[in-house]
Amino acid sequence: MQNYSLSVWARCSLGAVGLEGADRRTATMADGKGFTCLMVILILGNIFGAAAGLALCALAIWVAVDQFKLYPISGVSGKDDIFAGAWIAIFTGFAFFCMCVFGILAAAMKSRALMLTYLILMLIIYIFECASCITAVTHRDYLVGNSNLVKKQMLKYYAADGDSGSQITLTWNKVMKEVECCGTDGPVDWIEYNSTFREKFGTDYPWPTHCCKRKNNYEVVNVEACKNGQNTTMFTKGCFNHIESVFSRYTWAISWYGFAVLMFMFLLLILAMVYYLML
Amino acid sequence: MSRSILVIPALPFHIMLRSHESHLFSTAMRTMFIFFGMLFTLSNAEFQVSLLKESDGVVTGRFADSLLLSLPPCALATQSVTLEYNNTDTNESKTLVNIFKVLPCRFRRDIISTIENNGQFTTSRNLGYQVTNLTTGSTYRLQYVVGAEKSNILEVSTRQVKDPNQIDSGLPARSGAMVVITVILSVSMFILLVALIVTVAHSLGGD
Repeated sequence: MQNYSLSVWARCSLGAVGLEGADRRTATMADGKGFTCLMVILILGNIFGAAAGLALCALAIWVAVDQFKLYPISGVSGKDDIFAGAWIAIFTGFAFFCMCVFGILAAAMKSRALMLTYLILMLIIYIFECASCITAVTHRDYLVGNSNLVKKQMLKYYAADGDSGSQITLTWNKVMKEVECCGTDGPVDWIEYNSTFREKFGTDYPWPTHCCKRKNNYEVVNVEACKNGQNTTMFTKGCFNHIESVFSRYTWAISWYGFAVLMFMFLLLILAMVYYLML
Repeated sequence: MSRSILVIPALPFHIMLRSHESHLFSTAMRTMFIFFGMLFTLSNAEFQVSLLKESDGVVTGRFADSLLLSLPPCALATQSVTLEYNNTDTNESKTLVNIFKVLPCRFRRDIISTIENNGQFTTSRNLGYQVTNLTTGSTYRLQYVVGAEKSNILEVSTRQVKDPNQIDSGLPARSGAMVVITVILSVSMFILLVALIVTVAHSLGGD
């Protein structure tokens, strides 16, 4: 099996080189082994590319749906291109799928016009997908490179009035309840810095009551102990680890998987250009 | 506890008498008195007071407007406690008289009371005393007075509340992933564009 595939590659490359060296007229009409071999490779590559593009579309839909409901943290800060990249990837993923199917057709029909259309459209989609990958990973660096942006946003917008304030408050309450954490790096954030929460509610409660442990009926276990900061009655770990891991997961889905698809498409397009030259 | 400390100096006094040198004897007496005097104050003062730390089961002992202090030892049980503190910046003193009674040794250390109720039994634990109504970012000297005993003077400051607008939320650093993805994708885009132009030009030129 291995010998056979090696010889296929050898025949393909020899065929391609041989044809390049030959006369132009004979090359366009050549139907040598190298040519057929390249056509087969192109068709197989396009089949695989169609599958990869569809998977990219599906993965990008998962990111856009945002099951962890952390979009407001990026939305309010203005650095929400992880999700913009996901939306672009939905369309480019599906477009890759369509174009690869078209590419199978174009390669099988040995038509120059179709192959040229294929190449130009694939290049346009390629460029959009590049944009999606790069912007997603750059905005992830802004958002969760360190905990400062998330902390500043929490202090400023938690319990604030207005649309941003309510979104951030709801998001943080949800995170603190589900992940069992308090503050960005820890509850000390709430007493170390001034905040909208402190200005509104004074210093009686050093941190929101969502930091306190609750019973199954949602009643706080011990409010006074939570106010004093006793470890057993409140959550003492910070929420940043969770937030960072969620955004990183979304980003790796869009940018690294998109990168992998693009590298594959790069090789496919180079081969398609060689094939086009041989037509 | 104080009794055991007083026993020790008796030995050198005894040794000194055997030397029969008068000036040595008088200096020895003076040293002894000073030594005894020091021991007397040491045994009289000095139970320890400190801020509560994470190992005591709280998030922090220093808040912006209050402090959590540890409690006097249970050996001084049933005596009432007075707290004297002094703001070193404004130099105003305050005395809180008879704030609580030292709880007996049956229970563990005291006052910030945890009541754990799991529906079957309730346990109370007391951790410390919270001094409230303090000013932010000031240094205080605090001392317990229990009957005739005083604690050491604890010098500690409340937290200075910082302005969140001073947090630098700019781009911290570019991660390796970002650099790799950007560079490789940009280069590949460029190569593809050039290759397409060459391909089209070649095919047009060839016709």
